Amino acid sequence: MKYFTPQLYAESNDLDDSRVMAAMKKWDVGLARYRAHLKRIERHLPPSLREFMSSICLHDAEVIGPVVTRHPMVPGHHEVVFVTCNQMPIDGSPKGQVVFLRYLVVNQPIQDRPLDAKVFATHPHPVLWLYEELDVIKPGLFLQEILLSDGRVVRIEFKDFSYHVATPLPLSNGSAKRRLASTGKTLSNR
Amino acid sequence: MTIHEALLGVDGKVFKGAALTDVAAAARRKVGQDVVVCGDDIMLNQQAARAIENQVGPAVIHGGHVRAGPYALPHWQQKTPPPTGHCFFETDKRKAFDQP
Repeated sequence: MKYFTPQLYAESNDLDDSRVMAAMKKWDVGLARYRAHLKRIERHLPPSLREFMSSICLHDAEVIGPVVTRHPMVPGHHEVVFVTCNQMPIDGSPKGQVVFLRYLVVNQPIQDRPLDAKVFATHPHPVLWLYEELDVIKPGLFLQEILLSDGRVVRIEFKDFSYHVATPLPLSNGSAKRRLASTGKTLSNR
Repeated sequence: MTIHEALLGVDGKVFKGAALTDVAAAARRKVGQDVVVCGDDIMLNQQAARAIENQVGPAVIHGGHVRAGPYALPHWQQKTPPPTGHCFFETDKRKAFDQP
């Protein structure tokens, strides 16, 4: 991470309020620099990733993953998958929205904990997605780094990206049959 | 400095509602509702927000996220939710909005 580092996150959470304020100023500077960086690289990113960046905020989402699986469509390749569920969105999106992220990877992602600090939550609590950074390694190869609430930084090098958004099913109204609006299929109560 | 109920809007907007005491704010936070601390002194706002959130449990502060929207406010929240929700605070550059 270059902008939203574990070290700066820990400094922001110091017990001394004046240190908190100093770190928050550094954070704002980093945020402005990262925004400028994103503007520079945006046109080089896959369309799906550009769309994702303009529509989804995963900050504070509970995370399952990363997990690795064989890619269902690209022989000999693997994908890294995250499943996220955001119960406390800060961008006005609906609570409980589930997002599946899939990265077509070239190498195994790297996970480490570069900083051992009390600010990072330990298991068994749910892990939250805190901040992420994107970069272009070379044309057609991209890098995402993700800071999680347990202090892990996940580093993923990938060639392509896709995501799917799902919303929780509402409670049934008790009718004998339910219709899935998007497919026209009917589910019968058993 | 004042403390208010908070509602989230698009682009990270935080709308301030009814005024609260710090005790009422902590009670609201304990049930996962949002709160915002308003005023011109960012240090006081930050300290008040931290104090409210610490009454609920161990808390962490989160600075801005690039996708949160241009109006998003920094906030304290629970280190390990639940309860969910945030205790936002105004800065010198970013303020909460009056409810429409």
